[in-house]
Amino acid sequence: ANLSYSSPFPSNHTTVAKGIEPFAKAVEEASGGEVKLTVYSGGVMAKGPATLSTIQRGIVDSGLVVPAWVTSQIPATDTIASLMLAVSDARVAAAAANEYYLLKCPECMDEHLKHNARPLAYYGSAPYHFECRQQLDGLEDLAGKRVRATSTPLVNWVEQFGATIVAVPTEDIYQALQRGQADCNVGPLAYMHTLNLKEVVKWVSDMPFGSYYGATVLEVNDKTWKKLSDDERAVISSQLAKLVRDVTEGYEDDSAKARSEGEAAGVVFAKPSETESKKLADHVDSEFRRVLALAKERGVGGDDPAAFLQGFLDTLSKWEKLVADLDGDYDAYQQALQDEIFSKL
Amino acid sequence: MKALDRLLMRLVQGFALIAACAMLVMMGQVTLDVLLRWLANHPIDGTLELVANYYMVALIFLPLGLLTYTRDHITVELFTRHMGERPLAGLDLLGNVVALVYVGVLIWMGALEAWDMTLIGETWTAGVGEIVVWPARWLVPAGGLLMAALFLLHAVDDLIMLVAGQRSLEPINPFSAWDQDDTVA
Amino acid sequence: MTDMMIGLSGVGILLLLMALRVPIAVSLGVVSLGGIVALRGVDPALGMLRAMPYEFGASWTLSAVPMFLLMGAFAYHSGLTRLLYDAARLWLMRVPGGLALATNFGSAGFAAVSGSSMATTASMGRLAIPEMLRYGYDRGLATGTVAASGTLGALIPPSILFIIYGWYTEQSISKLFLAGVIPGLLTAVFFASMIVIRCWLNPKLAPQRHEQVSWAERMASLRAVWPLPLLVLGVLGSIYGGVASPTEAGALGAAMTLAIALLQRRLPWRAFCASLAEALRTTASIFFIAIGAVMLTRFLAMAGLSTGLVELVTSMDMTVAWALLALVLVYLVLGMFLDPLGVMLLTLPVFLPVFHALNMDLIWIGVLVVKLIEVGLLTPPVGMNVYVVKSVVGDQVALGTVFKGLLWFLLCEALLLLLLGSFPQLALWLPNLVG
Ligand code: NA
Ligand code: NA
Repeated sequence: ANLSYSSPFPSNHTTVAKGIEPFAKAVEEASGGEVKLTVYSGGVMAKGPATLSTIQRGIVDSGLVVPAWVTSQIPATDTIASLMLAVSDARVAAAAANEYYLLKCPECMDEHLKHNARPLAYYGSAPYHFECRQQLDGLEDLAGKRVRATSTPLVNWVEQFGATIVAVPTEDIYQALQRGQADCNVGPLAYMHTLNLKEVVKWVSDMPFGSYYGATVLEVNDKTWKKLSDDERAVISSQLAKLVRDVTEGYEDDSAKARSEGEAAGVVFAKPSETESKKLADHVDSEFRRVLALAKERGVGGDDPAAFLQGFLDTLSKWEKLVADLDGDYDAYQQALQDEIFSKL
Repeated sequence: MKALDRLLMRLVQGFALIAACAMLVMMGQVTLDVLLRWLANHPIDGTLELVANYYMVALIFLPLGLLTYTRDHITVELFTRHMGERPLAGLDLLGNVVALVYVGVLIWMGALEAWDMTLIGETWTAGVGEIVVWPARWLVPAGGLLMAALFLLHAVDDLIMLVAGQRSLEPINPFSAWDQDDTVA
Repeated sequence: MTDMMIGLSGVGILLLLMALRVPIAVSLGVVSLGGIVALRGVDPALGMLRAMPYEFGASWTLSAVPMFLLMGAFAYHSGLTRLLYDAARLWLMRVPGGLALATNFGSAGFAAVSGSSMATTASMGRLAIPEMLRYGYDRGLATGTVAASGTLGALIPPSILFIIYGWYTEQSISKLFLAGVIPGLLTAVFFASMIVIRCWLNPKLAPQRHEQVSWAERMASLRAVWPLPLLVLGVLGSIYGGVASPTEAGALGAAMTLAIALLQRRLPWRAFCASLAEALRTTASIFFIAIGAVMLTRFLAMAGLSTGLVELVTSMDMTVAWALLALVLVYLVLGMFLDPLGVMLLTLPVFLPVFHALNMDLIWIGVLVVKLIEVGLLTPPVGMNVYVVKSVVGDQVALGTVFKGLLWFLLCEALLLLLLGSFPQLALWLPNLVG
């Protein structure tokens, strides 16, 4: 079988370069050349919001779907993903998302299948940081600053400090910070490297917050999936744990590299004060209430939306412990993903 | 023919008027947003989303009728330069029919998508909350439909020219009132 | 038929339809639609047209396109173009080929408020060509100057092609704008030198005018163009002063041009409406073609033509010089036939991975790409700028004469391309200096 894959992200994005490209090679080798995956990156086949419908209609066989762009189509998935501030570790986020979405949330699975799309693997993004063009004494200095942030959970958190939200597309962030059109950006550390922000950023708050785990790194057209032979499906499934591990490890590598590049360029990484950490914890609690209201408004989570959300938080706690025990061993992490999740599919 | 032509012209003008308003409002709101952010640190919430999802869509798809009415679609003239009027009408008939097929699919699919999005009440998550976007989806089939009607009218006109050697539509530009110069491509 | 064959047949049918006067936008769309049906079936082909047109248009970054078109339309209809041309004419009258020079530098000036080559050509052509013909200028020189110097519209910022290139390749649009300044001015200087030398060697090309102009008149003509530096300052100043992003600068520029025109009482109601209609029609035309081009991109990708080319190129152990040569050849060939936006949207998905693989600077490549597209506007058989000139002059000048008049300009372009290809600093110095 020759499958096509569409990503809204450019070819150098972690999910493509360190995730799906190596995955395609691995699957091709493991199947003796029987299963091929042609990767179209950079939104050539579909811009972000259209990826789901592009898979649904069989224009491409598979792709990367971000629920925040298609909230109306997959509301339950997006509602769970709105709890993103509750986790700030990509490994924990990715593992919990895969376990919850794939095994414990039939509603989430069904709404994808309703669109003829079958999620095979989720990933967790690197956590977010405040990246500012000036030295701050602490996050309370954000009051009155212009901060670039996207997505509702991040915006809500930024607004806790009395900052003004400005909308700037990703490719304009460098210029916006350099010229002072924005004072701070909320983004992953990797931007120090990929967008070269180390040249314009002086101060970074070393308190990570939020990992976005709602997006699938691999989602296939369900009809195509069913047409594959058992062997072909087995080959693909056997590589999923490695795919999730590779993306996660790729993100951590990118962050570490960006951090050392930033430090070399003189960027200050400011440890959070106790007040700041407590503020984040308190805010995460209030986020639960906000997302619960959102779930009720959207009518997701069945009779008991609170239990629906709590179920995800419990899965998070489980993986927090597991990942802490692994002590940074990625092989063990991959094995845990395989044992706990992908072997059960 | 001529009555239909006049009716379509009114519609073309109406659509172009809405598009012109969208363009001016877009210019004004973005300018105001920039100035307020710069001077008062207080941008207008949702400018980016409104511009992308409403103004842009209106000013791209609604003037398609205007573009077709004045026959300003860009074509390659090189190989047909020395042809007589009647054979040219034949080629234009082909062009208009092919265009009808393409635009027909565009309208049909655009309407299906707009209908689906209306049913689920499509919204986009913006930085400041959610905005309703499904109404803007209807601008695509709306602009397309007017364009298709004009392609059809022109096809009939070309057919009459091909067969009878005479045009039934006058080659005047009814936009002379508000478009005094040649087109700028 | 193999996928590759379907792709190649599609390209053949596309060229045929275009040659038969089917609108370019429609040819692109209908061929891609049919091609995808052949490759993947009816449902995927129809599905492609469901959301794509809307989502392509609903773009914040691309909102700069109608805004810069509107800015240019306001500038033209309020008479700024005429003032510019008049000033250049009064100052350059005594130089050999003075009117052609005035056209050249008038275009350079107008380029600073117009985002599009064809708009620049049309605006300047309506003023300058009748004037040059009246004074007995060589027809080829007169029309060629307008068509060639019109290309400055896309090199000197603001530039719609840079906006679309930057949007597609995720490069900073403000850096691209700066990168275009020196190559744009250099082009104007090359054209000017060539015009002066040719007219000096052969005075028949451009008969000298014997008209007395006082310094007071010259100074007055210069004072009358005050809105131009103000607008340049407003647009570029707002971008590099941290007030606005390049996207927002379009709206700011259009609003400023409108405000100045209204304050000077130079934009009566009819001219105002004409500006709006012109900007709307051009916007719709550009985006309708671009939707077809996006479809074609996907069709060719599905047919494996794009990946095939990349594999070919990467398997050949390509060096930077070879990649550049391939870029130039492909753009020259496609540029002969296709519309500029189509060429860019068609080739970028193919070339971008190659450039990434070779670690080439995408800002510099952007300048080369825009330059090459501009050359394509001048080459036969399909040279959009030449068509614009032709639509201005009507039957007074034959199409072949215009193309012939462009030969010397194309020679300059070849030299400029060689320079830009060999010295990336010509493009990169300014953006690196400003940061
Ligand atoms: Na320009
Ligand atoms: Na050409």
